[in-house]
Amino acid sequence: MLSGLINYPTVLTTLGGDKMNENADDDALILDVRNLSVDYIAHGRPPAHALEKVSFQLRKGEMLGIVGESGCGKTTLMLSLMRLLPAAGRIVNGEINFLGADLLNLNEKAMADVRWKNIAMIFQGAMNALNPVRTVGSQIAEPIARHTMNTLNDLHPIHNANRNGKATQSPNGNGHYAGKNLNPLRTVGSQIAETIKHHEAISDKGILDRRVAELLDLVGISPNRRDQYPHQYSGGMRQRAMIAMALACFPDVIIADEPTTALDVMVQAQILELLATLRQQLGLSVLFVTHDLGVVAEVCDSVMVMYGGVVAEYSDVDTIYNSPQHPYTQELLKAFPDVAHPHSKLTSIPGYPPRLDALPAGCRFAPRCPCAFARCHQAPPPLYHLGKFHEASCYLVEKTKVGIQE
Amino acid sequence: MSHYLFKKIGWALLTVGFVVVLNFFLFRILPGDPARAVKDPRLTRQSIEAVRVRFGLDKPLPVQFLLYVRNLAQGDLGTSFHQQRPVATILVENLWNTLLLIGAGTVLSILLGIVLGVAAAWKSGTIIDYGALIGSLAAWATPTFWFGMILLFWGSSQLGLPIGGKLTAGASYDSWWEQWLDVGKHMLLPTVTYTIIYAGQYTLFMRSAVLDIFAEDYILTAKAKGLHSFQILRDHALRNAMLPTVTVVALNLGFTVAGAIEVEKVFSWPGLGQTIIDSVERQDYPVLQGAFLLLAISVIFANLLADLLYSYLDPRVRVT
Repeated sequence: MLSGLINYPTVLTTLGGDKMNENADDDALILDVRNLSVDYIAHGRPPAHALEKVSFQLRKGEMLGIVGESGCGKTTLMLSLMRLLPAAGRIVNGEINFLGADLLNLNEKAMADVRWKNIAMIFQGAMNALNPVRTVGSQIAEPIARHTMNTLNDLHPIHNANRNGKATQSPNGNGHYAGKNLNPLRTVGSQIAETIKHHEAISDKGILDRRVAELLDLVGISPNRRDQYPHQYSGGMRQRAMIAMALACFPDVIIADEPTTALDVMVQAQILELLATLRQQLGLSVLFVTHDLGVVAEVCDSVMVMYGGVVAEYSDVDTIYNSPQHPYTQELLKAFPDVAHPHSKLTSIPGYPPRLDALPAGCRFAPRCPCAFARCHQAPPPLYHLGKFHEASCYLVEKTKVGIQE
Repeated sequence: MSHYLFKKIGWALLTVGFVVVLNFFLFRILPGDPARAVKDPRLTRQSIEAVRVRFGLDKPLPVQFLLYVRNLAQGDLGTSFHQQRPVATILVENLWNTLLLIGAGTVLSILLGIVLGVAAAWKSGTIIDYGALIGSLAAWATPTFWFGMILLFWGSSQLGLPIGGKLTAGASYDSWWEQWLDVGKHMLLPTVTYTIIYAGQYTLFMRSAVLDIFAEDYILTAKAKGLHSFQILRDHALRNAMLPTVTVVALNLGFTVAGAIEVEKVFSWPGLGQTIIDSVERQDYPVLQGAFLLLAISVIFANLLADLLYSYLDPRVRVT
């Protein structure tokens, strides 16, 4: 399935590169997004090109950082992966290959089955992303109840089911969970009980209850706080609960959309550590969206720098930090403190990202770019391949390029 | 929780006490001597004085007030100038009729309003939404008495429904259910009037509440969890959207004890509203005073009910 790609990015240090031969069927490849373009349609106005030809890959166990200023299309990208764009957003081009199947070809019902079970999301403001009038426990239990209990015994049944083309198989076909042979019922929060009642797939409250307790324990929250409401949690705890919720169905991919933005530095560090630990333990594949390049350096394997809805630069984390090629990446790095050069001055990039409904004719960064020359303003540069796994869309790297990706 | 409950009940009782005081003095500063309400030109000065003594109006104001409070504590609201019967008895008789009418109307209008409002929000931007929106605005804007008269005209001429009252005059009934059937026939039009007028308001509130909730982040979370739209509506939107609506409904409940006046007048329903109008015309101050107290108390307790319901629906309010 990868034959169409040349110079397919290879080895990521943490992943045991021996498995990943170029052109071979890449077993570890989970998400393969190609040429994804999204427009926002407003009545009587030109469409805003929020994303244009964005391509990236995510492998099992990989943590990919997606960075850029506000308004660069990061959140739009994440929402399109789950097909949850607001009504005005349209995916106009591209593919989202998830475990070999293009999510864009699924009907709404099949897509709803993929959501959270296969791709879960940690939202940025956990206060608003949790329903204030329902207990945290019930909200964690909800996706488990929704997506069958199949996931509880087998870490990645979906993984296999998908390949056999049975991703949407009903759990009722699986007599294993018929319920009578299971533990006697235990008391759970009334809302959990209520949720279960409506989902015939779940016949045992005890399993659900235990699972919620496990999840809370996993993120360092005492399970006896499951019957509390979000406002009784601290900001950090809410974010932990959000993470527990994201883990509820053992998803193949977790999208973390600025999970630490609203938290203070200490809590932020705790949450990052938690994410890193969980990732190690569970082999999670994570898309990590952030403004913070420092955080990316700490926890990610690879980085995609976005600007104005396009990929500016995409490589492994060492390359991005040690030899950034795109001026935007360079400028971004200058805006963050570097412990190796404590006396270097922090600089900001003057100006703002472009308006998406009035994009410049050439490179989208050209109006703010310190290195821009005439050609930059005429036509947008293609994405040049600079090595096995290094891409940048800038005319400056033309000479060192290895190939051009369409 | 219990602390919260006690605090709310305490405040409600305190407010009732304040109302009792205000209500007493309000009728003492009204123009005219209450004794003059007992109109009869043939009465002599002595007779009028006797009437004043009989109603306790000869005593100084503070003494009158203490007597009023003492009687009130014993459930005695005084005696009607006009009917010469205890005010409490008159009010209770009419209160039941009012409660019957607005009870039925309130339940129906809440159900109708919630269903229509949620449907409009769920199918936002479709013909269902516009239909519900226009209908509710029209219902809300229509004067109650006008709508009542149109219904009365149409119902009595086309459907043969009674034109007013609670029971057919002079009718005798073989069984209790025949009597209730007659009451039902009389109740139908006023109930429909009341229901439609209030349902319009509830529909608009519910619709905008649900639309607000649909824009919340936790609805996006629910979608991301793969929940179906009906599950999202039921498990995440409805309860949250009930919050503003509960407030409006509970506040209305208090006011509609008096607010049914228009409906009762048009359909000659022997309720509290009708009693109030009659008493104003007859300057029957003791009845008015009792009725005002009853209305004030029902508003206060409707508020209390809203608070308690709110704290049940919204866990954030529970902690004090």
